[in-house]
Amino acid sequence: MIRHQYYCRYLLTLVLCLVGLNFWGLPSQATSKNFSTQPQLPKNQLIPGASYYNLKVIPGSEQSLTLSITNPSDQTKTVKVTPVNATTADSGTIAYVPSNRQDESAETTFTKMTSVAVTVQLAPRQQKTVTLKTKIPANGFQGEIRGGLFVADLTPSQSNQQSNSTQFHLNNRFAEVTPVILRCNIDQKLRTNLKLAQVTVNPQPTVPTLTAKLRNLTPAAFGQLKIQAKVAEKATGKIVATQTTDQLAMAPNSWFNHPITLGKQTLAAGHYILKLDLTSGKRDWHFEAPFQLSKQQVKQHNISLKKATPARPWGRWLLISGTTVSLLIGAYWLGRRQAHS
Amino acid sequence: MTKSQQLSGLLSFLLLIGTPLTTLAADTSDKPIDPQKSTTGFEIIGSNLQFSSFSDFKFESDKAENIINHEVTLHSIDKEHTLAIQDYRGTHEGWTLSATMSNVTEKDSGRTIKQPTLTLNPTLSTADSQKLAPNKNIRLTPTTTQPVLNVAENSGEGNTQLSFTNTTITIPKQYDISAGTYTADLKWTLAPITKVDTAQ
Repeated sequence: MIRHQYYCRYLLTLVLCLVGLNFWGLPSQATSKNFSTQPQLPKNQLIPGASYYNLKVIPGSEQSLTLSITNPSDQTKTVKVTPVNATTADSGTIAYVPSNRQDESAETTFTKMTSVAVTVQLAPRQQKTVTLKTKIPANGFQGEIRGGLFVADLTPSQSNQQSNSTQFHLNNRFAEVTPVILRCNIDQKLRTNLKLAQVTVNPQPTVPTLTAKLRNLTPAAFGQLKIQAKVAEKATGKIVATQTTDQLAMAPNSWFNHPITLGKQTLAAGHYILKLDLTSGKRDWHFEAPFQLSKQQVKQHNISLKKATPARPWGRWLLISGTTVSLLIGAYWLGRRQAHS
Repeated sequence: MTKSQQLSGLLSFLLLIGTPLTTLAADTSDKPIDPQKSTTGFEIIGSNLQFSSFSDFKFESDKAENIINHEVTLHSIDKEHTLAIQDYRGTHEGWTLSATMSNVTEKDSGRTIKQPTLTLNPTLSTADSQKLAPNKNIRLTPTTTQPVLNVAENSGEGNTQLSFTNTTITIPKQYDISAGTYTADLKWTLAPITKVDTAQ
């Protein structure tokens, strides 16, 4: 009987191992229910094996951009492939999302050169390829053209399909983007031209902040940008607020609104100057611009400071306890000294 | 036939059906094996950068009267939302996850809410790769894009799971708010990191 049980256990273990081996031999199942994209890189790709297009293109030619889209889920999906321009988000990052942001300095853009959006329906576990065509201008272009193939899932989310609720609702939408970088001349280095376009006091509902609109007039992206901002009183030159932000990047021919807070000092209404020092690699820039704070704006700022000052009773208790302990130690030491003498 | 013979017969059969299909396929190769030049190299094929969907954010409701008189902050009804990202490319390029909120509009009239701010608080639930730091206290206003997690080169490979808790939407005081059901699209975009030089 014991021997029989032993054989049964042995058999069960072996069966499990063999079943495991069989699955091991098969390709792994995608754990995601979302779609995925993969670029089919052409021969003129400059970085082999990258998951985005980085291409040397010939003036006057037509460049095919082919993307494989896979639906690993068990439901039909509709996705839309849209060409988008690279822009700079206000966070100082290069964004490849549909946007109306354009800078007039751009000679041409990726969306102007590329065929229109395509909508594709994917059956469960189906893969399809989509090709968009980019027409390179006959005279080529300076620097780089940067954009992306933005693939958005148009299938309504499940909770949205079923919901009749009257509550406030945020529908999640999912998108994957494959960046596209095009260059006619890969050795061309263009001197970066940055400008401070304007400084505005942001009409926040609660706390006023500044925004500095910075423009990159060069058809080349750049990174490792550090911005040191100082707010000074115009009359006295006294610095009332400072802020440092680093690891920023900008898309070619783009702009962004860099947010600057007004610091932690109480302010008076009047004239101020924003001073900006920017660095990236060996380059540096200095910009200054005046701005004015109204009575209402400084009132909002000063009220926010009072709210932000945390009540820290533990700090006071810590100070009292520390002083008491020090006094006790001192008294003990004095007492011992007197006793010895 | 003894019990042990029965068992060994069964085991042989199981071993036969348990042989991985890939091994059988490899055996059909017509190329002769050169004993002098045994090949030890192999290929690892990268696949995709992808993420899994997660349920929509639903928020508690409030009275129009409150929004007419003061700023209101609505909290997400669900305690937690999780978003999983899989980087199976094997390229170590890094990636970025960003979020963009559309205008917040009333379902029937199409009227929009003025200056709503969505606040996301992502934390890292699990991650194969180390040293990932999602941005904190991300504030989204309509049509703006904010990075949620920037993953530099040589990190973020494998599975990463983000957890979103205490998600809120703040609606400033506005006298002309319409009663009704409001919706907005929250677009999550996943993109590979591209190499960018410093300024010239």
